Amino acid sequence: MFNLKDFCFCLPWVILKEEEEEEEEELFIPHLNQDIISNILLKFPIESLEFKFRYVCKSWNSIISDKKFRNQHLHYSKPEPGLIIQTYDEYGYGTYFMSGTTKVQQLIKQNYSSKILGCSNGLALVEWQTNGCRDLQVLNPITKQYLQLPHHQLSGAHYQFGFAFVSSISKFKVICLGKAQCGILTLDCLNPKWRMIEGPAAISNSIGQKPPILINGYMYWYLYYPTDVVSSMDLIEEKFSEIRLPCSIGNLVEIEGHLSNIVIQPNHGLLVIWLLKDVHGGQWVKQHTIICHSLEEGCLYTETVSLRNEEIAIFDYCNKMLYVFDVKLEKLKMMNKIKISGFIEFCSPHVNSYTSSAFDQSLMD
Amino acid sequence: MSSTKIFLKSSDDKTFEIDETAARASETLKNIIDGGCLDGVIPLPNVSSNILPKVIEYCKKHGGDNGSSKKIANGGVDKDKEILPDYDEEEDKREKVRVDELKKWEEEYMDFDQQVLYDLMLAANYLHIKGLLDLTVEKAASMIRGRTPDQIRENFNINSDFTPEEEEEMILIEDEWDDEWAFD
Repeated sequence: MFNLKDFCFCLPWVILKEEEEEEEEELFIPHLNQDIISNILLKFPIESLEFKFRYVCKSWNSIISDKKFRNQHLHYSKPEPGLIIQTYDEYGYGTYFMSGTTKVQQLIKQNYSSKILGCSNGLALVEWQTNGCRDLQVLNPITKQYLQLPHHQLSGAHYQFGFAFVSSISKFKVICLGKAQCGILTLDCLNPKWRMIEGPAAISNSIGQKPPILINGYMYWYLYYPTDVVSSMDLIEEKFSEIRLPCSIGNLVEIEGHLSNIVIQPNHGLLVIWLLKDVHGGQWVKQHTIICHSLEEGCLYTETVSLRNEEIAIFDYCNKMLYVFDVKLEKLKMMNKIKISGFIEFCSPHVNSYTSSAFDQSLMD
Repeated sequence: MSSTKIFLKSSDDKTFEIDETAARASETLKNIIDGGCLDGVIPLPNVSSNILPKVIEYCKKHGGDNGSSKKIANGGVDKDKEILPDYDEEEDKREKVRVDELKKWEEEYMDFDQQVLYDLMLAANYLHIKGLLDLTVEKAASMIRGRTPDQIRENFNINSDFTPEEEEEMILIEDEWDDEWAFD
């Protein structure tokens, strides 16, 4: 895009001294050196840098695009976690980032081709559809850097994708779960190749439509049938096992590092939260039962997702409302009405960051 | 216990005196001192005589921090130790007072115009005074926080050097980002 050489800080001191008397108040940033500008810019969140400061002048743009700066930013900044939300309507996919519960901003221009399949550690797995072709990409929604992935060789039409950063090995894995077959792509070299392993045999033909949930190195897949079972995948060992749910309806979310089954019973005005405290034992604990009359009217279509450490967001599609449940205080707060057009197609916890620069710059450019 | 004096010469040939302990707040000066070049005057061609006293003021306040002032504080507590059973609490209180006092000092110290701010930032960067650099950078950041690229360019007299096509593209992206969605 822009050349690294385009710095405007190389102005000689002599010229600036002459102008000083006339423009004392105005002269400020132009003749600061790059180090200092870089120091100032490091104080800002990635959104301000990528959507605002990048457009101040070419020199700021090249500082912000610099690999070293991005790595420093990744290291020093403490980005605020939020949600990535993708909607679909007659104008295509709308991709938004919600930080806190009051501010929602558009991340990617609305289009028909970029469908988000999964999110992890600042990157998104995107299905890019053009002219009937479906390509897989790993994309940083903020910087728009992406990596094109090879096609998988899974047979059949029905499969579900999962995308995870496995922190214990510091690698991203793309999982494609099909009919009793599972493709795995580990992003650790320039030309990653799909590996096939045996899928969770007992549940062939019945992978659910919702994307899997990622918790502590495990990926939990929804099933169509049986409805009270989820398939859990150990992302290091790459082995599947089954977990029986306490309730056959409801949503899966992460609460305080545990798998949680959230069941809304609108008829009774109840919100029941189950926690799986011991993954291996399979013992569920009924952690919270909350009376919530505000949720009683036709909220059959809901989406729940972990918002921050101890909060979960509940989207009520029918009434277009957002609720936030505070796990610690056991309080359900009704937030404002959501002005969305179309349906929420995808929703996941997300952090905007320069992850891709640490991941591997050469892979992403 | 008087410390060794060091002399610093500004870009416009004025000489200033500073205690060695205070000068050590600057990584650059510390290296010069440890390198054994203490005989004469240390020339600072990048720092002018209206900024150097400000830098010295900061170093005086912070250079002693890790050395003498802490010793004095600890000494004071030591004497009271037998009378006061809750030693830690007292120490905490002193620390809090010290931090509050420092904050107040910083507030007064940082009360200057933009011209001084960027000169001070350059000096802090050149002399490697991390605390002063952080302080000034934070102030500069607060001046651009929440502003649009246009406002930043206007306020700080930066010329946009993008081509018209690039500008157009930028405006589109800016609009998208400013268009906040979703809540009534």
